[in-house]
Amino acid sequence: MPGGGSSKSGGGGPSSSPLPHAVAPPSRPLRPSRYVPVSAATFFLVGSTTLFFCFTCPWLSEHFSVAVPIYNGVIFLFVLANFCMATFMDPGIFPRAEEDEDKEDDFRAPLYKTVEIRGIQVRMKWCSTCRFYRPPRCSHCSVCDNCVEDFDHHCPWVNNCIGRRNYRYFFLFLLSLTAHIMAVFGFGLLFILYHRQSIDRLHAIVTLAVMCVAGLFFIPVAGLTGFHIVLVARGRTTNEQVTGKFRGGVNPFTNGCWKNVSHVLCSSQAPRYLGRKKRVQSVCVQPPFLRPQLTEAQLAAKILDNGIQGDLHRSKSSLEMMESQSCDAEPPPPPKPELRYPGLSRGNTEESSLLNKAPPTPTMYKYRPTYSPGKNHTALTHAYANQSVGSARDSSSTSSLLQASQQPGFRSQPSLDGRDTPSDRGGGGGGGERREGGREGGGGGGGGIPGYSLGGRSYPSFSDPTVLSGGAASRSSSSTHTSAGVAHVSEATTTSASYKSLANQTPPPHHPSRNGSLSYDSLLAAPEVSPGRSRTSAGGGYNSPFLSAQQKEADLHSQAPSSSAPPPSSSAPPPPHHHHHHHHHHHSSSHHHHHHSSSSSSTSRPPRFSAPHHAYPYRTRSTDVPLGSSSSSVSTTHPPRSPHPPPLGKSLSYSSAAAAEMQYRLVRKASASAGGGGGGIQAPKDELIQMKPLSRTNGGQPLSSSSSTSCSAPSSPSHPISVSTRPGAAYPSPASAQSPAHKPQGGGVKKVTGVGGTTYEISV
Amino acid sequence: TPVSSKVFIQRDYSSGTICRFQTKFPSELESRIDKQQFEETIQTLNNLYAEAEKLGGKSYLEGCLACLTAYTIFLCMETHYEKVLKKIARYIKDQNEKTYAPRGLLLTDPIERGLRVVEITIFEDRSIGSGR
Repeated sequence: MPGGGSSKSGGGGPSSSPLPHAVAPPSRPLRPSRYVPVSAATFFLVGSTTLFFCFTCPWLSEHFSVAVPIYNGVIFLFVLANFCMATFMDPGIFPRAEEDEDKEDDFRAPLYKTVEIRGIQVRMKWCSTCRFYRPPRCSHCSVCDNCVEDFDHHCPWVNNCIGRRNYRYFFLFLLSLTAHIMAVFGFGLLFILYHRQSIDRLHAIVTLAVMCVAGLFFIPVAGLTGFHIVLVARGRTTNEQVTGKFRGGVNPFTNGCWKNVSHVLCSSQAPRYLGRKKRVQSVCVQPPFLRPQLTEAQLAAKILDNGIQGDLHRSKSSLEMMESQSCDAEPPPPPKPELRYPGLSRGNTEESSLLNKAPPTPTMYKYRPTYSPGKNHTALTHAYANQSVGSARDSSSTSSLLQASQQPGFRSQPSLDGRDTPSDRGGGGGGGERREGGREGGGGGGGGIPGYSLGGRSYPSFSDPTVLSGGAASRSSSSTHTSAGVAHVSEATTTSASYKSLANQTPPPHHPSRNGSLSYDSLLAAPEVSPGRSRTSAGGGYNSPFLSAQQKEADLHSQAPSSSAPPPSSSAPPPPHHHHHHHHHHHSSSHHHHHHSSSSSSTSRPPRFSAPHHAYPYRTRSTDVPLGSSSSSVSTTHPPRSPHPPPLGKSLSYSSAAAAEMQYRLVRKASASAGGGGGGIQAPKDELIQMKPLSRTNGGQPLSSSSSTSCSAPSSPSHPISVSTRPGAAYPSPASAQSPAHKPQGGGVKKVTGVGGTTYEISV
Repeated sequence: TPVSSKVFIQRDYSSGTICRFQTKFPSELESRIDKQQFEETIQTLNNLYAEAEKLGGKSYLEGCLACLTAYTIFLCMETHYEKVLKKIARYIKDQNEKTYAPRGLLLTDPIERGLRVVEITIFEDRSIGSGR
């Protein structure tokens, strides 16, 4: 039974193309194993019921009532109808986005975009296969290789995804199947009770067999039915439930029990997106075109309000107006080459926007290869998407950052030693370097980006993502915070506490091409580990390409709960520690998490969290200065560190992610400020890790807290632990991201000097 | 006429997953169409989609009927949502003909994009040296 193809709704000829393309897609490889469960289900269902009707019902209809087989027949018909609908109906597959829809995002767009749904921040992840940002509740099914709207789960028994369009049928199928099983079992039992004497007759034997099958299937089916009844009442999908998205949080998609139920059962059948008749555009568009008439007041207002934007358009419109006899007699101003709003034009945005604008630095951005390699979604460091969904996808800083990151991807280690201060760094503050004093990159993420492209910034990629994510915390604590963008991001991050995006897709594969592995090896060889670096478990299912490196780092670093040496850095340790704590918490709570972490890194996490756990509500904490307070409360702090050279190797390996990290750091300036130290280095790394969707079993909370703890590098340059107190629950980033380099002080500790003098200690 | 660029009006998720598009006037259209006109178009679309997704008696009856007929009714009857989608398609065509094409713009029915974006194609204006 092919799944996900044809639809039975009255929409005309259904197309059963397996791939949602307009063009005939290449046929997918035949996977007979896919059809085993559905075939078995069909066999048992139809076979048992047929036997029941043939052997049990005749006698029952004679001795009791003819209503018995009629009732059973009706229920069975219902079961079959719903089964077929659940199996064959398109669950709500999104067609792949067209080429021109995402050309804005080339290499510059963030991996995640945040939207606010009823006051709750929800992340939308970029789907590299389908080339759009997944709408809320949408998820990409790896079995079907499609993004499905309101994705519930992929059901092997019907060999189809269950999504918005066919969830109702699936639910009714479960209900009716439960009723059917109960009826078959009940009536079979009745038959047997009356045939105890002639139990060896064929009819009785068959009835017994059917009863066994019914009894066997009743337990799981009834259990699943009950589970879905609860889901429907709560307005959740299976996906959200099992990934723990709303654990401890608020579900923004619920409308109350009654409305949820009525939405499932009574709403009109959702339309099919695939296989629609494409309307031929019958409208002819020919110049001359009408133009809106702008009054002088409007023009003036535009200039005042929108700056370049207004001017840019005005330059054009004034020309037109002169020709079209507009009343505006002013000469048009010279068109400005620099655009403040990336959305305006894609071309020259990077530099200009970097210099002029303090964009809400996206904390995550996606690294998009030049082609669409299908599912593989190689994400570099992740920039946290800015809140503006409708506007241009990414701020210029992101784009520039991403661009920058592209270049130094293969930079050799020595290039990092340059630590060149990016001269072209403009805008908001340093390019994310964590210097002493916690100078943060600030909001002007764009400014720092050019510098990063020089390679000097690559090491920041190791910074804790939490540093970056802890924008809120960092913001408050950071004195160096200058850019509004950071604040912007911080807000975004802080408000995202209550919703965790689902981490149901495979994390981006490692970048073999990125010097990650190569540089990381060199990094490992060299770096020193600063003791006491609390390492947030990088696990949690976060499969960042850089994760392994970080994991190793983390493992190397001993978790010395010594107080951090430099006062500024004292703030840093607690957050990371909290981060660890939370992370660890979740670890223990979910093996799932652990599994992920273990899969991503060889280090075992639990032993690391030796420090006392402080229930640090990172998630809930928004913009307060958690770092400072947390640091004081937590005994585990960064051990005193002597300035160490930053882990060049680390930075190298993440050179591609460097840009993103830089962004983070800029955003997380607060983290640096909180820790006061060179948390910058840590931040990017953590952010990286953060970005990767982690095991959702964490329910998001601990994850977010962990991620948020990464901000605030300690003041000492050598200790770039960034603890971000950002309550950004939006990241499922696991605490794993947290641990930039917290490892028990092993034998070999490599100190790598990062940009701006921050040093990383990496134990070899 | 060559295409100059495309603007994508994204979905507005502030009220949940109901189908709603952002009414924010994109900057690229500032010189091509009036703000009010654009907002009116989007607002009308939003209202139509709200009507399509409304949980009313009509949709409930439709569901019951479908259930009773083992969903065979879908082979001959058009669902409520589809009816409204047709209405929307007519409205968009109408808007294109009357308002957008004369201004060198073209709306694309969002259903073709999975109801994710409203695509507005901006055509290059060669009649005036806008220097695009």
